[in-house]
Amino acid sequence: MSVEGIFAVANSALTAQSQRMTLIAQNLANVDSVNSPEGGPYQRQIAVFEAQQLGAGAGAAVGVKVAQVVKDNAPGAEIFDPSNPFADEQGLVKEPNVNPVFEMVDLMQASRSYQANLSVIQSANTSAMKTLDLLK
Amino acid sequence: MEILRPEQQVMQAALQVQSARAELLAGNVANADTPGYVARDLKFDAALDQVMNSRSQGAPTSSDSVITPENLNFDHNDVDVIQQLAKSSDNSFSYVATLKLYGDSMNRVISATSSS
Repeated sequence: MSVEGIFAVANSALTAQSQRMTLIAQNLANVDSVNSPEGGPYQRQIAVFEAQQLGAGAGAAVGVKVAQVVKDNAPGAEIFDPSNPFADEQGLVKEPNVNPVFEMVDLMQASRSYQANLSVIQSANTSAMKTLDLLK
Repeated sequence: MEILRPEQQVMQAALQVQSARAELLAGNVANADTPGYVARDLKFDAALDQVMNSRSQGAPTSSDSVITPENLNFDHNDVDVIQQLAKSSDNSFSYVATLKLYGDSMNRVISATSSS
């Protein structure tokens, strides 16, 4: 019985989903950041998931990992705010391309996926305990 | 002489298949948000045959016993989390039931061989 295998798979998913939630939190926190260390407005960041073989061999369990974090290059809105130090000659300021509604929906999906993996762990744990009960 | 009775061998193989299936289903739930991932599953009878015939300790893995469903999403991921969780509960129910039968039959062997 590979309870360890199931735990490893679910654990990889919990890690990946928390990384995704961290990025969402970062996007939401920077919803008004008109400047960033690289210059220009903050660009929203997205986690890209990838299936990952845990261990060697054809029958190895398949977990998940965040393969890369990409920046969304879509342009954000421009607002007229001449008093802002980051305004251009016409007084326009480039806003980040973060849409809070979109981020919240993504957050809900991430947290549902997190819960789904928790219930996988719970059910594997129950089975493992029943297996141990054979020794009674 | 075989120490294990035939039905106990079948139950052992069934437990092996069920735990391998639990792992596959866990992988499906884990990859519910992975673009391009296709859900995997075992055909129970084929996998059981494989374990019974090979007598190896390895998990059943042959690709012909892996079913790949067809309803692909827009991100080419076909995992339905609800369905996978339901399959997973169903699988652990079968696992626990097999385990109970196995334990009972082992207890019968033990009480038949104990001296008092």
